[in-house]
Amino acid sequence: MKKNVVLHLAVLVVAVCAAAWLAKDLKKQQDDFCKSRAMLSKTPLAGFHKLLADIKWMQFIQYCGRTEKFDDQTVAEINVMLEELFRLDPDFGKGYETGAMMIYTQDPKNAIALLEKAAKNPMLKTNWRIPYLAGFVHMRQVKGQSQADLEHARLAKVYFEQALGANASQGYVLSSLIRAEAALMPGKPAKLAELMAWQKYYESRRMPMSGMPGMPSVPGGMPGRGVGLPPFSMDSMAFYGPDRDRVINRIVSLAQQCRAELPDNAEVTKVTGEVVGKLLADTHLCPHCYAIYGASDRFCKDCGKPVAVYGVCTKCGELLGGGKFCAHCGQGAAKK
Amino acid sequence: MHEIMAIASSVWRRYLRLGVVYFLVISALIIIAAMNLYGTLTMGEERALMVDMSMFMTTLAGFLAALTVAFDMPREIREGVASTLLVKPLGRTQYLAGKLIGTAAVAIMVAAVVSVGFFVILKLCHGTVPLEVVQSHALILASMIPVTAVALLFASFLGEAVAALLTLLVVWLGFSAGLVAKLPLFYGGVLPDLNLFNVRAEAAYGFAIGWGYVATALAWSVVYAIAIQALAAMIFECRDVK
Repeated sequence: MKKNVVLHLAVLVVAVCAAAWLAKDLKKQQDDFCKSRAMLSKTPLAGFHKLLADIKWMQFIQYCGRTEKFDDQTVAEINVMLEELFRLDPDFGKGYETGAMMIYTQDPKNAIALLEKAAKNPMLKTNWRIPYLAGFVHMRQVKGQSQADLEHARLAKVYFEQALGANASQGYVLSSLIRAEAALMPGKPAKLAELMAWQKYYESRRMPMSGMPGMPSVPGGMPGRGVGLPPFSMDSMAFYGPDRDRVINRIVSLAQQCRAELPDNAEVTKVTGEVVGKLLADTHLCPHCYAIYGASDRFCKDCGKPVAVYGVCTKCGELLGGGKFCAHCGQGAAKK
Repeated sequence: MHEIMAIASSVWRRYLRLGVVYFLVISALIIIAAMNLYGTLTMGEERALMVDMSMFMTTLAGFLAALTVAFDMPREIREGVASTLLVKPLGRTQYLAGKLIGTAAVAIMVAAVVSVGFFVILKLCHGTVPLEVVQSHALILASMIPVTAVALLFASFLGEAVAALLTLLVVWLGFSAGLVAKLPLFYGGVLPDLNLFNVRAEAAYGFAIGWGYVATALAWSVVYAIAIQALAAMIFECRDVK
């Protein structure tokens, strides 16, 4: 019997030490992939926080569904419900988005706080909608050009950049960033500010070109200094995103309007010239009115001034339809 | 070893003859499947709700199966069935080991049937069964081993009701790690840190878990069960069984 007790005791001690060592290792591994555990409620719910959060979510939806008017009291109750919900499930991205949008008109401060809290959650770093909505609510607070408005615009810009960094592919995210950037230029005409914002964004994302092997050179190229956004080459589609035509049309429209409204303004002339020269280098624009013209056009449709012809055969002058040779005379289709 | 497996297979056969086990499994699967109807009430989050409910029902089904030893063993001791079994060459340690293996196997089997049923339902309703969900269910199955060991420990020297209540309390505390979680020898070595098996939120959102973690957690559950089994054997050796 004594032998049995000693044996059991020995097994007990060894097993307890081994279990403690394994538990320590497991805890470390768990902390690595469960980064938001610290935000979880400490209420002893036997680990069923997520299930309870689902029930709270359904209660929240029911509450919002039967609410006729979103007044201060309703918003206060919603804030309490959301706080309880996110203590139980801090990784619930859709909850942050929906909750913030429910309250942002009545209580923008809390909506921003909610989205900022979500944006800081490492488990939600691939969710681009949260920083986008944070930027959106900040921009809605920009009413003029006071210090408070500029601060909102600055924070909006940070969040829009964070959204783009989280692989937001929607064109309106980039447009929102440009508007926020433009809002940070008080005193400038709105269209000029937006044009300068496009230029600034382009400069911040340009690839380091000069002197690097295998890279095309850019006159006066400067190293890219984007905020964590990947660089792109001069004629890459990455700058324009999926709405390439819409973006180009917008920039062209801005350049045209700036030239039309302020033709004698030196800054306008300088900025539009730089923008057309760098951002729209691949787009064929009339040098006088910046209208886009097509292949084989010899005069601009909008102002009638002569333009540099492109897309025609150097021998017979016929329109090149793509391919390596001219379909009319067989001449090699050299680019013009 | 032969005696241990004889006890274990006796436990296995006895529990699987109970109709309530099948009722439990079918009820769990119906509740899980019903969660798919909550699309409107959850604003499109019915899949996450289904995953969460499946983990709750799997844990509950396995836990109830594991808890049966807390009722079964004290009853056997009280009615004298145990004293008949505990004549040589069947020792007390072998008796406890057989009970542990048999009950843990039943608990794992019941939980596994609920899990597999959920995977089929998820596949039919949503097309895919993510790896993280499978891993989280594997962890729930692994957690049945220490839970059964704790139930066996209390059943070895307490009555049915007290043993069941204490098991419930320890399991509840095991999942609800607080300040004591910072003391790895105590929590993880002495008290079961069942929170190590809790990756429900991560599974619902598709965050990667890793099979290495699952394997280590399974190793911990076995080692911890051995520790509790040794303690239970020490206590049971000293107990007077008529």
